[in-house]
Amino acid sequence: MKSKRLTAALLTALFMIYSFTACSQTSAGNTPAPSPAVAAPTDSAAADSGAAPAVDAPANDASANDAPVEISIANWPQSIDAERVKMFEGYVATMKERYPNITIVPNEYAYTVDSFLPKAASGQLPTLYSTFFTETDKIIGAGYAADITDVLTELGYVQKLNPDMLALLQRDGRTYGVPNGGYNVGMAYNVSIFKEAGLVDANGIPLYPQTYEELAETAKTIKEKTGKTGLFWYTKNNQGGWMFMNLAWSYGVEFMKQENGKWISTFDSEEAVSAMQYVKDLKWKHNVIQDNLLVDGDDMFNMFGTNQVAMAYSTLDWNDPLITQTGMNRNDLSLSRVPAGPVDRVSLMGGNCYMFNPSSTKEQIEAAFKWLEVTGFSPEATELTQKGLEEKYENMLAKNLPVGPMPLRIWQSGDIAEVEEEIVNARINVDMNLWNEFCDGEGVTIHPEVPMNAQELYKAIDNIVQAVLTDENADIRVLLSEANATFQKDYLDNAQ
Amino acid sequence: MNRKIAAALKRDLTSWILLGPAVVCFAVVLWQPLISGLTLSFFETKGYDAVRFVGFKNYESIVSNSEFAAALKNTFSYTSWSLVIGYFVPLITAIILNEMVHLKAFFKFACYFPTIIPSMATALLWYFMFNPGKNGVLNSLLGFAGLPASQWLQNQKLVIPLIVLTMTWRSFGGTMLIYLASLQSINQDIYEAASIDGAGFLAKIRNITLPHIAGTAGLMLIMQIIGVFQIFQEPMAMTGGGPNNASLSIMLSSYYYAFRYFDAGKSMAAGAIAFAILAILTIAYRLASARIGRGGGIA
Repeated sequence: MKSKRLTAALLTALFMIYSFTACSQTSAGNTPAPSPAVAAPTDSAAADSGAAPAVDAPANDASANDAPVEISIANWPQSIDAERVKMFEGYVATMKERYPNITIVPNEYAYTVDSFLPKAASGQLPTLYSTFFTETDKIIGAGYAADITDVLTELGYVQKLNPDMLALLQRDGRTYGVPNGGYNVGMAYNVSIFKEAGLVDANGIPLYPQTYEELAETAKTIKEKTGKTGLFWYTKNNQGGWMFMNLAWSYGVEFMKQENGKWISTFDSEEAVSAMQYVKDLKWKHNVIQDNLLVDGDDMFNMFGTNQVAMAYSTLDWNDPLITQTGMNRNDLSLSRVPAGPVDRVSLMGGNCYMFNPSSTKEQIEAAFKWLEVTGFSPEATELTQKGLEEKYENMLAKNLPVGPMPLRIWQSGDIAEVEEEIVNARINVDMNLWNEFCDGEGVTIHPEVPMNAQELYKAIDNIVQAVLTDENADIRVLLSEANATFQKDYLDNAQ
Repeated sequence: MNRKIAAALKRDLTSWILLGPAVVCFAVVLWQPLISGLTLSFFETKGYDAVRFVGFKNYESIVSNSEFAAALKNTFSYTSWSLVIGYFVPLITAIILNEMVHLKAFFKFACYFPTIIPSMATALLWYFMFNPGKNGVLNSLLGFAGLPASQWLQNQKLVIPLIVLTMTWRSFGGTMLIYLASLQSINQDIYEAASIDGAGFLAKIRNITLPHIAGTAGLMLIMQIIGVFQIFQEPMAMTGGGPNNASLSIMLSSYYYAFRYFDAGKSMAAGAIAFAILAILTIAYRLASARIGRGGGIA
């Protein structure tokens, strides 16, 4: 009887614990999803053309690969976004006309931290998906991105892509993705609050603070004059650490270095103490940041977009969520350079990239690049890419997003950048004076993420930022040296 | 022996046939993932693929990670606070409701209502209530009363009790209904007999009500410990585990290992540690209650 009860109790515990531990498991992670199009080698082109397939081959360059290929494309717009759906349907029509053997399967999946792993582990990733630079390291490490080195080499893209960005997608000399948009962090200004505070020049352009000291002063003025929050400071979901990088590097912090092949964590420095002291002062000395101290980018969109806060770190690719989620007027948004610290003026490089389902065949990856070309992603300006880019910017106009500021250049050579600039210049819908300083980036050092365990480092910094902002008596020196030691022990020591 | 088993099987054949589908479901949906999760915790993983057997390395690395110590401490803190704040609320409400004559159905519904709301929604609701600015809902109320604004969830000492408070608010209704059912099954004659013997309200509660529902109360205790020990959604939605890991729980940390760092092995190891702790607690409870049962007839 007793043992029965025991078993019953154990089983109860077991069921409960199961509810979490098993939430996203499949026993076989990488079971290669059968790709139906390739698995069925019915050569329709050859069959159609009867006895002389070679002569009958159509004049397009894909003649060698006419076997049917099916690819699924992520980030397909949802039906409520009618403009984009129309645009994508246009791409499909072009694909059909050019490459009749390629079947496009729309997939509305868009990368999120929570959804990616189950999707990838169950082999359900779309052939082509898109993600952020911050995520690529773990995706490559987990084997959820196809090795596209050969296809890239054949296409001749390797030399043409921005090497700094490409480096983020490479491991041991192999490439696992292509950058599709590069951004560096800037400081976003809410123009209407700046006007309210009288902090604008004769043309209505905000008086941008040029140093971090000025930033704090400006934030104070805004709070005094408008009662609104001067500055938004990121603190959670690793974004506290991520955005702190801009400040820390400008203060001369070095987070890690390599000595004799060993990585050493080095952020218990005096520079780091002063950078963190700056963060602490924002709350306890100047009192200019938001009341809620457990916040991330989503909170920024809400607060900034609804005119509750005047300044925040932001990037060009956040314009879209910021404006579409909150209905903010695009003319109230300005992005400028990050302020300068005592040592430098550093801006973190971010961006997004395309990656491919690891079980894709070479033909599928090639087909996906053809799709990308149709959407305007290619170093060479052709009629096709030009059309794709025009549609992209028309769509941004239709959604009231700022058109004018250009992201970092992805392509080093080829004439696509010039053509894109022409296309954009013909469609500018904002006052470029609100964006020029950012786009020129004068004096700004663009810095890629730290090479080792970036996310874990961000998490460690998140904790310190939270501690100094929520506890007036927090000892920065102690917090930093503890975190530095822990980061070394937990991560860098294991990464040799 | 074999013949005995065969005979037993034959005797219970119908039961086995009836049980069959459920057993298959349990095996596929519950036991298999549980076992493969446990297996995975002993492997170095690449995504969800086991790459190399590493023995207890994942466990060592988790246990030596300073974050885990915080998570473990917090998880016990959540559990004890939930017993302090939440354990007696449903019991007392049930006793009160049981004594009520009017509006009983309304109050039953009112108490159960928060349980119907999805937990993520309640977490967000409370998140807004606890907004630390002077415009936060609770801070506005404090302002009306002339009291200073509180930091609420940003206070490292308050964050766990506050999260437990919201969980209690959300889930006490369900437990209360179970107590109520148990209370209503008590034969009213016993109460009448006690009244005739001169027992007062408290004496009746102590001598009739409590012994009668002790079994249920014991089960609820275990369920609550098991449930709260796995707390995850609330800190994720309300604090992300902050400030400075003050509300990080084992399950949240397991979630981060899996989804933020793609380290399935460590995630499973964290889950397995929680499972082991719960199993030990449960066994300890059963042993203790069996001992009490022999002495005093409870459970």
